[in-house]
Amino acid sequence: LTEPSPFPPLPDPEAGRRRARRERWAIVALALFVSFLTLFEAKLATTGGAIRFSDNIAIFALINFNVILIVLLIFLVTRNLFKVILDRRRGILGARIRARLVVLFIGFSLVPSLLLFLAAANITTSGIRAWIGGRVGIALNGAIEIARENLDREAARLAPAAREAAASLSGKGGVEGGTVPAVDGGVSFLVVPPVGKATARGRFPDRMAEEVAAHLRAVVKEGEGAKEHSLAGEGYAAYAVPVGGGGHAVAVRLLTEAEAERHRNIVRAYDEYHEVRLLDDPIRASYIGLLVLITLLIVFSASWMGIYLARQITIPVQLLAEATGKVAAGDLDVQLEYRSDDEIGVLVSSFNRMTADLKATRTGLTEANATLSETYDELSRRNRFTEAILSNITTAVLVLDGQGRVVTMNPLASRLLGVDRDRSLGRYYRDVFQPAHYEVVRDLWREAVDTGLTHEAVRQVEFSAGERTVPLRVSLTSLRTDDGEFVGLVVTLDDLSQVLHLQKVLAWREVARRIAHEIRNPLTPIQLSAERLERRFLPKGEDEAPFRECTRAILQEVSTIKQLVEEFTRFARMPAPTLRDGDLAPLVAEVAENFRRAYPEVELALEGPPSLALRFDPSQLRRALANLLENAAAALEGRGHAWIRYERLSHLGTVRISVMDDGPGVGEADRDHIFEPYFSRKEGGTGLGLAIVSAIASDHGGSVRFRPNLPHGAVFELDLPEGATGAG
Amino acid sequence: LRRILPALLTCLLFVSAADSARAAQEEPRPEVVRVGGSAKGREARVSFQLRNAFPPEMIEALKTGMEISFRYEARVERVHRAWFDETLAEVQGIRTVRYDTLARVYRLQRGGREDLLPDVRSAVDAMTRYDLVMTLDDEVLPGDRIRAFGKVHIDRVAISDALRTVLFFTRLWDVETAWSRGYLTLP
Repeated sequence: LTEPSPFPPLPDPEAGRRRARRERWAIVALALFVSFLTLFEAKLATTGGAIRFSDNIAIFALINFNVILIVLLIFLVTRNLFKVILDRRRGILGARIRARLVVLFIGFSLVPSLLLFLAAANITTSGIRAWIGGRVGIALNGAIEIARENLDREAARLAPAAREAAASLSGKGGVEGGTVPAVDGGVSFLVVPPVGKATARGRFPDRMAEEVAAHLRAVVKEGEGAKEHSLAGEGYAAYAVPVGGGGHAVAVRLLTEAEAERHRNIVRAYDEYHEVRLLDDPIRASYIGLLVLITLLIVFSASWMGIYLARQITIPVQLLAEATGKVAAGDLDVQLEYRSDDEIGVLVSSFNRMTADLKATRTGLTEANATLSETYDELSRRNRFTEAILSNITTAVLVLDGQGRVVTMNPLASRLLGVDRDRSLGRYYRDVFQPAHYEVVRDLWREAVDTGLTHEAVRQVEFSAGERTVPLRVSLTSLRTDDGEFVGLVVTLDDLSQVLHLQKVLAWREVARRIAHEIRNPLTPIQLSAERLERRFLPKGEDEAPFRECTRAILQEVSTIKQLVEEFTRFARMPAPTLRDGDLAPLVAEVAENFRRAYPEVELALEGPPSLALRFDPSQLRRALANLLENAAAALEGRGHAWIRYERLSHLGTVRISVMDDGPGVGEADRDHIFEPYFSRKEGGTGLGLAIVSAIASDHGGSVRFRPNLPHGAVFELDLPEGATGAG
Repeated sequence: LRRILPALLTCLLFVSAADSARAAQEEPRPEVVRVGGSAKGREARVSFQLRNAFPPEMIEALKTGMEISFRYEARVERVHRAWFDETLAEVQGIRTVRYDTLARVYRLQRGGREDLLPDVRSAVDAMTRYDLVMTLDDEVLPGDRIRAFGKVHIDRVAISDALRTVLFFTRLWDVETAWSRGYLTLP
């Protein structure tokens, strides 16, 4: 979230309206500014000073406005160019294509514009120079000289007539009283007094007489005496001769309209030529300035167009990019507000449709996912439940699919088969099972198939697990669909050890009961007979001792056999436990205390809660604990450490009493037999102690098992159910 | 607007500086001098002269046939000590001079009439000397303080139509004087 976005911010509609308002205000301010400038300068002009002022306010305002507009254009274009460069450096999306378009537009416009500008400027300058400094000037000067000479010659031809008229006037009292000759041969006469109106003789066009008179008076200088003057103008040629007494007699030949027009044309061309020659630099500067202006306008317009087009392209691209980023971030509510009838508009519309479709799809997926999630949760719950069942049942379960791959294996199966459960899943059972196990399952399956049993096959076998041989009941159940298609196989392995053990115990009990019954009956007659023999037939003398020794031996053996029979009887006729609610802690403490007194050199540690409610038979449990401690003491040979720990295992629903010692422990081969009757490695042991413990545990609905105490020693764990109902 | 205004102000400063530099090179400036005259009754005679109005280039232009016009303004005021000055008369006029290449005279037009002048000196003199007779709105009384103002600026330099399109933005000899003033004598 803190990482800067590569996109420039999207144009906000409200921001656009604000910008438009600002631009309107800017335009108004600009107009006011131009008006103010114009009025200000006009005011300065009327109030005086050395400030220059152009008489045409409109043109002046236009110039100001144009200048401002050009400055504004340059500023805006420059600003946008800088913005394009900055955006490109910042790596903003769209800046590259914008910069590329602007550069292309500027390049495509600048190069031809510059070439055109240079060519036009060169042509203009060369043309003006060629016109000014070339033969045009010579020709025009020659033309004006020729026109002048023609007029002068024409005027010179008038000289005799003018002199004649002047002589005539002089002889008759001067310009005031004399007369001029009559008009002859297109020559008119004009009498011009020193002051006053000239008198015309002949037909003069309007103001022509005044024109000639004024011309004459302009060229006549004071004190020049009797100087004659040749006069020429666009429409006339004249010759003036002074008249005695002042004034002039002027002979005038009026030119035809065609002649006058030719003169006017020559004069106009001559004047214009000199104008151009005089205004050479301003004209060239104006042309070049105009060309520069046009070039700048073209370049800036191209730049502006490039920026505009680039914006037209990049803004929707930028919008799309940012919107795509939002979509990628998971926001499917993005809808672009961009309307255009071109391809980009189609693209934006397609994008909007795509996001809408995606949103609809995602909604559907979300709902489906929720359903799936619920289903998955339910399946998981069921799976966990099944797993819990499989983990806690005393039957090993193995499920194979149709190809013989292991699909499910509960921990007990893993333990019994001696394989790693996690590594076995998904593998073929022949690769997982030990060869002996595999053969058993394979044979069983073949047998089932051969015998036509298509759903279940059962066999009791013995699997070797390490050094142990475990009796198992192997059951194969085929899994079939409703269509009868074979989809897998369920293999169940039931550990028959406990069952066989119980069977053995029961058998031994029966044996013990019968032995006790058969042996107990003759023991009393034997004992009574031996005592009778000793009382009645005890010889005196040297035979007495052997006789007594024999009878005593008989009696002692009978006593021993009686004790043995008593044990047998106790084992065989162990009463059903009488369960009642009680506190286990005092009972354990009592047994421990008795043990400490009996075996002071064995350090017995007691560990458990001060009180532990349980339903149990105190006398039988006391005996079971005493047997376990006796067993520990025998293992320790009267010296060592022993522990009693009792605890409630709520998750298993049991109370566990553990009796431990750090003695030599039980050998691997003996572990399967230590709870069997008459199995003992102790010298003189009856082999009934642990069998009785096992019987008591079974009668309470519990169990007892052995496990090694590391690094050495033995642990006997007696588990009693919390709510024991007992065998009885 | 915050971005545009500084740019505009910078441009204006630049233009002003360039204009000042250009103005500094154009010495001497034209000016109206010797404003004076007399007033009597409802008539005032105001005279003034225009100095430095014809730079050499302008003289050359005149000689080649370019038409030059001056527009003059004159104003007569009665000066009040404690109140606004009272304008008694105002007059405006145009003088135009052009060289007639064929006739080789200068044609000066003023007050609706044309005078032909033999040389450029007389033409310039005629363009720069002003003697005006002005009718006052009110009678001049003894003790009045009558003040006259004079101002002249170039009206136009007539160039051909073709060149006018080229030199539309170019002002030729943009001559303009400040107002000058002088007191009129009373009888």
